[in-house]
Amino acid sequence: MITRSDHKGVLVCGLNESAQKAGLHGGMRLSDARSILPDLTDSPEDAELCEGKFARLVRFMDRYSPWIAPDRELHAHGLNGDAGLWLEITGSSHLFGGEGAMITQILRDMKAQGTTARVAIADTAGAAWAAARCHTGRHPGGPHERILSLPRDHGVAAEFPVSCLRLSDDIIAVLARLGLKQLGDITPLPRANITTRLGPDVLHRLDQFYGRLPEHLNFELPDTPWLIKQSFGEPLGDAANLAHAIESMVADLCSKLRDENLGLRRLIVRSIRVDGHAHTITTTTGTPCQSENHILRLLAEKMPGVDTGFGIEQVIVYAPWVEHVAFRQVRLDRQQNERSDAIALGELLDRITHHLGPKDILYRPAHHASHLPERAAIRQSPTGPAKPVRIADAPLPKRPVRLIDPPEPVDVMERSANGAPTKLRWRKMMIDVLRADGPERICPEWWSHLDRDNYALSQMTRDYFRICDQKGRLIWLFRSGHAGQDIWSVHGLFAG
Amino acid sequence: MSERCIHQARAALARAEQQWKVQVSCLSGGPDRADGVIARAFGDTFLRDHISIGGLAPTGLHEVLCGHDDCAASLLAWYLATLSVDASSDASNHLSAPPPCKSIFWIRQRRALDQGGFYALSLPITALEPEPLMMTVDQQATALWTCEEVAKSGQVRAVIIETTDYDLTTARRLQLACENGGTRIIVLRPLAKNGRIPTSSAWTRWRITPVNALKPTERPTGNDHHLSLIGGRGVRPGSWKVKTDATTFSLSVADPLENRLSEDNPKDRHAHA
Repeated sequence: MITRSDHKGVLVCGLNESAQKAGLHGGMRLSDARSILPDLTDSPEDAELCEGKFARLVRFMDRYSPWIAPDRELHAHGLNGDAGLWLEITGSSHLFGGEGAMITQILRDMKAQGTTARVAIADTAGAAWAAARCHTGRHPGGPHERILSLPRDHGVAAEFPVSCLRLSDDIIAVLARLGLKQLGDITPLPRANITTRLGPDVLHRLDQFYGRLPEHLNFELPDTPWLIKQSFGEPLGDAANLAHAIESMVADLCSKLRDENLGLRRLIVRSIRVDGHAHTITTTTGTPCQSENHILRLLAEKMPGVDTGFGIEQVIVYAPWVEHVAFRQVRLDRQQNERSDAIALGELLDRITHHLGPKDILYRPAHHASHLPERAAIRQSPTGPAKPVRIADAPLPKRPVRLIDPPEPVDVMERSANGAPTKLRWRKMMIDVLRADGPERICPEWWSHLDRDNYALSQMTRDYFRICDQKGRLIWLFRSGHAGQDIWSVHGLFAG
Repeated sequence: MSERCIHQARAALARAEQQWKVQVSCLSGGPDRADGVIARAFGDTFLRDHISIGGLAPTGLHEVLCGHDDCAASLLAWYLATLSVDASSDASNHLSAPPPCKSIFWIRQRRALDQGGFYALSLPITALEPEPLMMTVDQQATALWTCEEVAKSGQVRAVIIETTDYDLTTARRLQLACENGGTRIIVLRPLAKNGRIPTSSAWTRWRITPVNALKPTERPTGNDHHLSLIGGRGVRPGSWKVKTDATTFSLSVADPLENRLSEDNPKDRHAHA
């Protein structure tokens, strides 16, 4: 038990789980607590130690999300005095197997740290704060019961106490006197009456709880020199001014990176409006980049999407991912050395990727140890280091120049004694086979995880034939299926 | 002698003089051309008679027209893309030393050619250093934009693009991109459904088709193809019988005598120097 001394005396400000189960709560006098649990041990609050542990906790939670906002208003709420953190997990919960699995992992990790925690996930910051403290669920214990989805769980949220709205003690006392104890008691009331009687804070918090108003959180970004934050006394209302401000901040950041022979791989530009809305632009490069011209060119494609609203009051430019740059000096003077060809090629690929998006994939082909033609070629990132590839132990027979994916069905009219086709119809054309080489049998790879897209194809044993028709074309086709039910398909075309 | 014959003779003499000047400039150790193009062999000295500029332009737009069964077009496109130009080449006009380590960029527009996708593993091992960059897109506009950006950057050795029909304005833009970046673009372009050859402003336009069985007893090997230079700037159309080698991704011209008999016009025989 942690105690704090103030003008009211010695008060309890921190309790462990067993003390809470015994009926103790934060804010009660130490003498009252000892009367309930005489064997209670207490220690005075060490603010510096608490702040240090809290900061370590914030850094520890960085593994779940880089956007962490400590709850600085906890002392004003008069509840148990337990500290809290907000984590923005939009787009990151799937990395942990879903929201339920994420809660389970957080609880497990916190327990390993020796910290008792309550975790909840909701659509808004206010709802998450309330759910972590007030949501017990109908079947407590499961992680899914800590996930509050407001349209679905509106009834559950209506049972939350009004103290979960983070209002002052006076307002909570007035609400209690009026008999308004739960959120469900407040929401049906006319909004004008609530404002007149209780002030604007109640509706403001209620709207933030249900997501009708945004709530600006002060996210703590890690201590790094690769962050530049600029606040404007006069909010920027013009997109051109915003672009100019970002341009100068990016130039400063790149200058710092050049001094340390570092290049950024990811840049985040966050523009915070006066009404609390924040717009984030993220750009990623394939190779470490020090050139502000290149970065600004990539950002220029996303800048038109920024809505300045009533003005931008703060801009944060942050490089969370930096790497060393392979520097090659060409000249002895102070003139800018030529960039290596690899950097120039990397910038070209960045421009293409940013313009086209991830849908059109840019890749380098590489060999893979597989006899299946569609699996023998894999795709590697064009800018990353070449991954070690496994090449087949024995040289494979010649492969076609063009591969038809998926294979096209053909009708075989006649076959020779060894099973090779002699007359077939493909794409509504009759083909007379003058020469056939084969068969080359390729069996399915039962030992590897099969590609779901080509599951049916990869499951079949195929006998490949390389035929030459009367027009001199070389066609690669295979026979699959069970005996008596042969399925013929064209898989590729040779050039010689 | 008719005026037509005199005109043809003068044209042939002018071409021969041009070729001689280029060879002299090579012997003297440098190009003697404003455009820097060096005459080089394309497997057969006869080819230089057909390209008045003396060889394949190092920068510029070249086209390979494809029918639905011209699968050797990919091989030809790769061969054209890898032809290097070196100002210090010797007088024998052999292919020069390997070019700087730049990749070839292959852009494929889906369903532009009715032949499936290019199977990069069919390339010889030496062609994979450095590894080519490959990209597959759905829209022609995307493919052309990427081609122009890559060619303008000058960071690749050549760009091979498979795309559907495009107009002369687009061809001019690609040509300008080549000149700005010092890159070569090879376009794999399908023939029209009626078999007509579309108009273009490419430097050279090629077509390669498999050879049918000439005699009932003759069995085609699949390696024999007809390579046709069907047009371009300052080129004289011609046709050769070539053998393709998919293992080394190369072309070799068949017996010159056979080609001479197939391409030369008896009337022109008198005009040749």
